[in-house]
Amino acid sequence: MKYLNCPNIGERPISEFIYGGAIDPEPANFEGSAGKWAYHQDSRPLTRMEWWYHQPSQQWFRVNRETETNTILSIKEQ
Amino acid sequence: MSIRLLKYGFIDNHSEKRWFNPAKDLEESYDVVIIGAGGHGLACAYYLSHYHNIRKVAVLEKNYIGAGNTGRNTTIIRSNYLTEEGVKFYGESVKLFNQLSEELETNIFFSERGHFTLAHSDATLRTARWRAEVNKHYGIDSSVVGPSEVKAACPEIDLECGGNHPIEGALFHAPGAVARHDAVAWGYGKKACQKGVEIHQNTLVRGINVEKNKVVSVETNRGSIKTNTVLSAVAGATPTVLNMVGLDSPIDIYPLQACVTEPMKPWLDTIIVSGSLHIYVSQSSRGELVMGASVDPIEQHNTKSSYEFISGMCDQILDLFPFLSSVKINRQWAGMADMTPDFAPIMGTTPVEGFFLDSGWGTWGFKATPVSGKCMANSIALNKNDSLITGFNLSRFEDFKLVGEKGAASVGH
Repeated sequence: MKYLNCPNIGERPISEFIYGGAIDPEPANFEGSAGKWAYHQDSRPLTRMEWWYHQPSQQWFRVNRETETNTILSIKEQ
Repeated sequence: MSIRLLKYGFIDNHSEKRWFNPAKDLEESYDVVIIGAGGHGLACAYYLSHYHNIRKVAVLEKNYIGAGNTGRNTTIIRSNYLTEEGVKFYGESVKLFNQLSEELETNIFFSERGHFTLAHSDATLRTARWRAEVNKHYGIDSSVVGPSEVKAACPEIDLECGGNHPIEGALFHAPGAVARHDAVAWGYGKKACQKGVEIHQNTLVRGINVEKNKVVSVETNRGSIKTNTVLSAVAGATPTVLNMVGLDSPIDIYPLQACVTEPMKPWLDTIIVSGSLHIYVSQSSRGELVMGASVDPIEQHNTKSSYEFISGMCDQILDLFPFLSSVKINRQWAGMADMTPDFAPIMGTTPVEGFFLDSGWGTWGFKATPVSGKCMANSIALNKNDSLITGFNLSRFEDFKLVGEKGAASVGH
């Protein structure tokens, strides 16, 4: 079973967490249509910041994760 | 050793020919380069060489033939989809599958089983009725049946599902079938090679050169190839290949897992699917139960399988078939599914001239192998999207013209 470090209460089983998707900040100047911004993305294997949620302690936090190896590099509160 | 066998060993002209071309150097140029020697890529090579007389084709594969999702799916073939685009497209695929063994002179073990999509709630039953009516309108054999028909086709099922979510009915699709997935890829590859198509295994594409918005060459780990036409049929690696030509897409990569049990005597003749329980199960010709669930909850670019998948899936399958508690799981594995927001594929021409896309096959790609190969070959030969796939173009997301295909497998809806 995989575990993840919850910033509140430490290591918990991964099944207690919900994955909230990549953090995709709104760009200042985006060339292209709204549809392109809403849907299109870079889905190559990469390292990126994501939203995660710990259900029992009801907290959202940010995780820096490598998608190819599924390694969590760092965890930040809010 | 028998004399006959000894004699056979000494003759040169064996009756069973080699299926694929032996490993050889890449040529300087090809008319068409197909990236990915899975079912889709090889099917396209077959239709190009046999129906369009385009034979100077190279199929590049970073691993071995059918190493990706072609060899990892649960082999279910059906056409009871929900949208007009989906029903027509997959309907054509089922027709092609029906005579594929003869066309490819390869036994693909095509076996029509009947396909039940179980409904455990009024809402699911309503969707089943909707799907059945759409299917009938386009001439697809599909109907809503009650629990007694499900029990008659599969006496081992627990209609009460352990009392948790009783079965209220099902969508029954008689043409639902299974086939041997590897044999489909091998058959297409064999026939394509007979017409001069070259399959290059262990050949990794590192880049695609584009000049003045036109494809000019492909860089591989074995050298450079001049070509004006490239087809990407790489499932989970699609974002990487798209990046080589400066494009992006709405595709997300999620692992999809499956497993097989130890072999049993034949007891399950039909294919049983439950959207609410997120499971699908059929019995292979070897006697193993082939089972799968929904995609993993986290985006990942790898094919690791997990304990969470197997425990979650067994929990659900035991509600349907309690006696399976004494049966062991033999193997589990995962494939990288290229999911799209509307559960429909992304196919056809792209803004880069000469770059064609066959992607977004998520959890529904195997059943479309013949028709996607045929449509992509038509599109490449005429440099214009085939009429069956015009709704599946890459630009539909920018224009907010999504397909809304909720009949896809292993997705919550």
